[in-house]
Amino acid sequence: MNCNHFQNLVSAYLDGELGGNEMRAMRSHLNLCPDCCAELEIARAVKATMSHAPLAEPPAGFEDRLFAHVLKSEKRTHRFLPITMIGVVAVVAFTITMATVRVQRAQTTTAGVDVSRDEAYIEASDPFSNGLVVNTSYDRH
Amino acid sequence: MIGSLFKEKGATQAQRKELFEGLMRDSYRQAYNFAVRLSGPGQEAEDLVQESFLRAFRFFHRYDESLPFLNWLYRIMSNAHIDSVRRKNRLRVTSLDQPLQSTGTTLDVADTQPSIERQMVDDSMGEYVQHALTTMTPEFRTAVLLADVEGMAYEEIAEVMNTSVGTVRSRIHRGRRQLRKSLMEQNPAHYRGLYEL
Repeated sequence: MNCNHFQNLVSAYLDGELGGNEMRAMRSHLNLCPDCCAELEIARAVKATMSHAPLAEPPAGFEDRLFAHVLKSEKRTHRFLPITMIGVVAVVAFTITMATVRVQRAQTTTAGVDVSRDEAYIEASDPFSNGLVVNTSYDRH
Repeated sequence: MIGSLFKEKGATQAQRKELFEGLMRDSYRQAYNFAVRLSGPGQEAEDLVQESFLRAFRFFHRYDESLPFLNWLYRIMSNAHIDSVRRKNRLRVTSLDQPLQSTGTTLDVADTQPSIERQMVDDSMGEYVQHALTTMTPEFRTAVLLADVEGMAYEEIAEVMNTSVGTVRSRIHRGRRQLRKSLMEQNPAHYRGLYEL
């Protein structure tokens, strides 16, 4: 492996992010290569520059502005919540009503078909009926 | 039944809001510091923090409480920052000398002198470092900041940036090189001893 390969690993080595084999190979190479050692020192210096930069403090009033902004967005969301819920309830109620009506209609149609079929059967199978069918009632009194 | 559902939902929302407010109070300073380094001081940093907390609040139901809130917030901030940089890059270039077709007037240019607020933050941050950060590719900048300033492990950074550890390794390496180049160009006298091979 050449220097270019190891120089690409310098940052990961510095951060302790190399695995066992890579770490050992890197250490062996650093013992022999002054250029890669210099590259490592530069990466260390850049990292130190970054990590020692002081914290940036928020300007005066920032906290109040931030909380007001976020809370205002919550109020906006909540104002529409009841309307959404009412809409959902209305849709559910409508769907249930429509489903009930359909079931009732289907039952009525099925009963009508059964009666017609029975009357046709009686007419065909009774030689004395002479085309007359006794009025059939399915209601029990 | 619906009334009790509303009450239950209201109670849960109040609890979630309280939890979110507590997390926001604990983290907004660090978030601001991260935003300054990502996008520069002043209004841009404020906007980035506000936008990120707003997104976090809206999608708070997706937050996994077993994970650090800051990592989740940084993920949102990184995405918001990269979105914002891409939006700016897409903006059309307009001549300042030619009058606008719509109004027939020319554009006014903002004062290029830094505001007192901006200058103070620049000074406290280390002017050179802050400037060097702005010259970096946003993905490299984010990776370097998370590693060197926030002290995150590569695996955490990969999670925040929604990428692989290998990509993070490469971004940090190349990002540090960009930083070094920029710092050397700005102040060779100061950085030559530290950064020259």
